[in-house]
Amino acid sequence: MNKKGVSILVEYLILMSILTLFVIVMTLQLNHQLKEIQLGKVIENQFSDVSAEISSQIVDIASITPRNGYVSAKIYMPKSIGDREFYAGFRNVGNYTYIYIQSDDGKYEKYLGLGATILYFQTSGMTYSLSGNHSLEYTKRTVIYPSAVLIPKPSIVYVNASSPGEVVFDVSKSSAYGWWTWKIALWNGTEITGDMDDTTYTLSINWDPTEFSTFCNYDSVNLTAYCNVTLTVSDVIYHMNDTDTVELTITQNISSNPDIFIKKFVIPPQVSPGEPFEIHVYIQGKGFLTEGRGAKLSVVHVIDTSGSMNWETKYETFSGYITPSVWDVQLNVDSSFLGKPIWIQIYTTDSLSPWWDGLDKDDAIVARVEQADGDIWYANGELGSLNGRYFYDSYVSSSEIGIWNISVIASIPDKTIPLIIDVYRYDGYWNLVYTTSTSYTANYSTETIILPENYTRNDQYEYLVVKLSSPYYYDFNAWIEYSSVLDYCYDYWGYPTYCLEDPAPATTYTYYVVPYAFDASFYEGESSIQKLDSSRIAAITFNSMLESGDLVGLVDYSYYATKHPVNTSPYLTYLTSNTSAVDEEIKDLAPSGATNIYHALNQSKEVLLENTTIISGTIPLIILMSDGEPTWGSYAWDPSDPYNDPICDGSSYCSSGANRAIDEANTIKNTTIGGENITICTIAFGYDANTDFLQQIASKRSDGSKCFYTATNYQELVEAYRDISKTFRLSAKNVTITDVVPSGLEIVGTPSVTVTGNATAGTPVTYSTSQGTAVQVNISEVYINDEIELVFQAVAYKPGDYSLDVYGLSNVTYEPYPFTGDIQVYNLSVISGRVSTDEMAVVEIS
Amino acid sequence: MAGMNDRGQLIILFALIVSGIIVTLSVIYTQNILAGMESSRIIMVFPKEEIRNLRDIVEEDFIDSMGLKKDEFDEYTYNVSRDIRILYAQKGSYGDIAVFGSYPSALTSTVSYFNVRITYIGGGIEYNDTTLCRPEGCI
Repeated sequence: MNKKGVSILVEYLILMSILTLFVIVMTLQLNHQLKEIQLGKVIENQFSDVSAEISSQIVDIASITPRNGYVSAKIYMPKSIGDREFYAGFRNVGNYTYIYIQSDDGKYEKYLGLGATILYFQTSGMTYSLSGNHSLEYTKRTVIYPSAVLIPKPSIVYVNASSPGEVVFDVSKSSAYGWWTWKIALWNGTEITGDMDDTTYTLSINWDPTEFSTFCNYDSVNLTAYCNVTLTVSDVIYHMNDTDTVELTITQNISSNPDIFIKKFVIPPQVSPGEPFEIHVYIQGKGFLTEGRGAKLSVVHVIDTSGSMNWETKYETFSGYITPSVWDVQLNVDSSFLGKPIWIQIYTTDSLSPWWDGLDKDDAIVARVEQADGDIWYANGELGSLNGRYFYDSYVSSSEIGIWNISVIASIPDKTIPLIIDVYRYDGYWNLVYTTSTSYTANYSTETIILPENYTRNDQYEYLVVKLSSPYYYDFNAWIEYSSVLDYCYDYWGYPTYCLEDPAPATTYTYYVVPYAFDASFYEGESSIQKLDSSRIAAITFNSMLESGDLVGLVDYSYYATKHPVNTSPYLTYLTSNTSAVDEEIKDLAPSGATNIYHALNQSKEVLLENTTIISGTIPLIILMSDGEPTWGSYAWDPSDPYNDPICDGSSYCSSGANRAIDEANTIKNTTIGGENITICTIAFGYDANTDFLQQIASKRSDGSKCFYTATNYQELVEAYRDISKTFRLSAKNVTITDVVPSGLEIVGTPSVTVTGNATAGTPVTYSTSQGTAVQVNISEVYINDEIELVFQAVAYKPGDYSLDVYGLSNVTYEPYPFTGDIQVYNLSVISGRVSTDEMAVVEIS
Repeated sequence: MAGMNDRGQLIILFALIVSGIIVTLSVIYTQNILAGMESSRIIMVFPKEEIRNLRDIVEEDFIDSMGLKKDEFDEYTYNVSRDIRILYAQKGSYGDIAVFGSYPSALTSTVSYFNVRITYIGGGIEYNDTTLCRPEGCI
């Protein structure tokens, strides 16, 4: 029974196992068949989807391709299809490029042609379906080479042994693709760096013959060094560099000949076919203001002597910090003082001479008492018999018992004095219970004001005012010292620290600023002189810059104008080459009356037209300075009765007088002497000058700007005169720029020329030569510090490297100083440009 | 009784196997249904117009504004850039056109050429283009 039972069970298990195995095998086979049938279709569809997705991305990217950048697009694909992983990428078959997808077992694959899109990019890369991310990246880089252009301003630097010279390195004409940085290497190895946000650098140069002889080409005879400065421009995208080297002239020799600085460059140095190069030829007049006059000047100073010219104008400003020297004493007010009066004397036994002579010497001391209960009192009582202050408290209360802090300052410069504190307690009599002393030296500051000699009659200025500004003047005392004079600066109509020297000799003044308050710190102030005195300095300074043979005259005006005889010649009365004669006349001018600008112009015209034969060949120039506006000189103005004008009131703007002045100015500007138009330069002096009117009567410069200046103080006025002087300093004459662009390049657009300064340039012309196309422009004269830039565009249509000029034909010819008629030729350096197609873009799958 | 038990076991066995087959086929069938979705979605969502708009602003508006002085041009482009960033942010993407260098013409002191970076990020697309633009166009 048991044996039978076991046998049946074994038989059952065997049969079931065989049957189950058979069923599983058969089922798996069926499953495989069913799945493979479906999977093939699904893979086909999924591969189509992925390839279509990649293709769509490529087509879309192609519609927005960046010129220089990238497009990154995510690709979405299943990690597996059924149980199959796969690869996606690009594959070249024959001359065609396909998107290629293949299952990892190699059984399934899909190709999708990219068609004509591959004309515009190359393909690369592959991605595996199990990768975390898939992307398609299109990149295109167009290499643009940087261009380094270094322009030193000025290109010749004056440096003397005691003061450094300055040069501004201008790299703003450099260019590169994207962000760029620059580095300037000086002759001695020093490197200066910057980026495109900061394209100028001011370098201070000290005179160092040892350095110059080591690193530069040094001419020890003429004290001139020729030093190379190299600019390197680097772009941060391609890390490419370009360099430009210029020779900087550093000299102590102010009589070195003027010349011109010439530079040619191209922007950008690489373009695509059909894109234009912009070719620049830059000229800078170099030299110093004391040289380079091509023609003599006939200049008339027209100086306003109306009443307002007596007003003050700022001469100099100053500022500084001073921390007061404070003597601090702690006083123990114990219970013995309780309920009793206390008397504290703070004084000096010094005479305080000479600083406080004639003044209330008690005022020299400032004392502060802080009682134990925190109350603070200033010792305002004046001792009278002693030089100092006292503090008195009639009743010392219990809360005041303790330590008292006494602080003292003495306002006296340049002297050490004894300071004493005596403390009295009233014990039925004044009992001296405490005394202490110190040797005290005040902190103070000095400001120096120099009124120069030889600008005023007897070297006496009308007045000099020196004062501190509000609110600082409350915190200080001030003295002024010059020669043997020492003056305390009083409170003048609400202006403390106000010193007025009237008259003021031409000498050096020392202004002492001494703290008078515990919290004194910063101060600022200014000195002022008469406006007319400022004008004297400016006009005489201008005269000192005139060359031998220049003619100068003087007209001053208020109600009417006066032309000053300065020459004893029978041929010329109002102009002279003897500037001293004019200087002496300027020194005698005095302010009063109204402002008749019409008559001023009229008289200055008469000065220039007195003898046009003699002054022919000179540059006729009128420099009219005014601090106001036309208030006199209507059409009814009668020269025979110059103090009676029925229309103008002499104190406010008079339109009829102004119109008459404008008419006269136009007449003058249209008047020529020896072929030269008379130039009117105007200077608006002070804040009340009518700048619109003065600008209207000024002549136009060749660059379109008016020969008009504003000056609100003495320094600006001198600078205006100096600039006018500079206007007529020549670096070169008869300058001709000729640039020949070789065959293969075509000039496009209209060449143009820009002028900064006073140079007069003609219109550029273009013409054909056997060597190519020439662009030419004539510039009649280049003045010192003028900048002229010829710009034109050239285009090439075939890739390649092009020379952008023809050596020998591309040049600048000019008549150099001292203008003997000889012509100098400067051959433009050969520069090249590259015309290239864009580099092929790349599409990479990853 | 034993015969009945045998049949039941086989039925259960077959049912399990068939279920497995159906599940497997369902997954595959689902993948088949999803095929085509991605390519369709990509075609629909690719931000061509958004990127073109940025380029148009550079190539038309900015270039037209090169008649301005450098300072005015810089201020104008800065303001446009700021507005663009705000507008694109409101649409859930990042768009910017940043002029990072402009150079005045030696002729007129107006802008001669400028460097600009166009950036767009959104919809799985990242676009970056750094170009140098002149009145004749951008390169």
